[in-house]
Amino acid sequence: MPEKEILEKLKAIVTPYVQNKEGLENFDEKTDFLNDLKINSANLVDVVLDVEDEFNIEIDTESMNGMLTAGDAKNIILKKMI
Amino acid sequence: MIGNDIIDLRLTSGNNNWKRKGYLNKIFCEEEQDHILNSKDPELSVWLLWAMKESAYKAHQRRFDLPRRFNPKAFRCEIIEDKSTTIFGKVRIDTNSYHTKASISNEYIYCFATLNSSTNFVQKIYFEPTDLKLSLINAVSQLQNLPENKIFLKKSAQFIPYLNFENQKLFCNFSLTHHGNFSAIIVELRN
Repeated sequence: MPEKEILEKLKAIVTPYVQNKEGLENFDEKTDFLNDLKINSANLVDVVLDVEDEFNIEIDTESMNGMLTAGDAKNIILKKMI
Repeated sequence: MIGNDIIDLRLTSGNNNWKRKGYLNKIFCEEEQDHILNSKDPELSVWLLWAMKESAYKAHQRRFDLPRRFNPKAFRCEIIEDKSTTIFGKVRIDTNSYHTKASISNEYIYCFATLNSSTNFVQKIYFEPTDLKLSLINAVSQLQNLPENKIFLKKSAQFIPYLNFENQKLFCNFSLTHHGNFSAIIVELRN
């Protein structure tokens, strides 16, 4: 799956949880889930579960610990989908 | 070191996301999950333990100036004394442990964590939208007898907030929290 497509899917996944909608305008690898999008940390768990469902992967605890930006999530997805 | 967390229960009530398959397992160890599922009000227990973990996370991150990590499962909660509206607990991470005290009302859960049980502090809880930054600066200016307009709130490279006075970092441990309509500040007092 092309990286661009992964980022598009990620954007769709996080959108319902975003409290700062302006942060979505320049959604890219550097977009920070907490600082830029103001996603509540309890909803970050939903993002993790939605990513697991969408890409049919399992995100282990260690990977989840470092999933703070769209780029982090993309790299985890790429690694797990191999 | 100190950390705090507030949860607006009007935002969490009716939100059943915590019942999703796999949700609890991402945040809570087996003992914590058992505690939640066997409690009188599992939903309230989810958010109580969450607030304990969040406040301990903040105290721990500030103490060691740690980079951010989304590792709620690494923080292990233990309820020490449950007085129904006041709950004393302990949160452990690696070999560190933090004391927590949570207050529960119909509308919110407020929890703070300290490294030492004897820590002195001042705190304020706000029940309507408030400029937390101003409240904090106001509180610290009074505590340290400094002019309010010369104190600025900044964030470190690790995204930990700190206060600056005349281009110097103020020696002052504090934590801010905000959820829905509620917010709170807590400032540690020097003994």
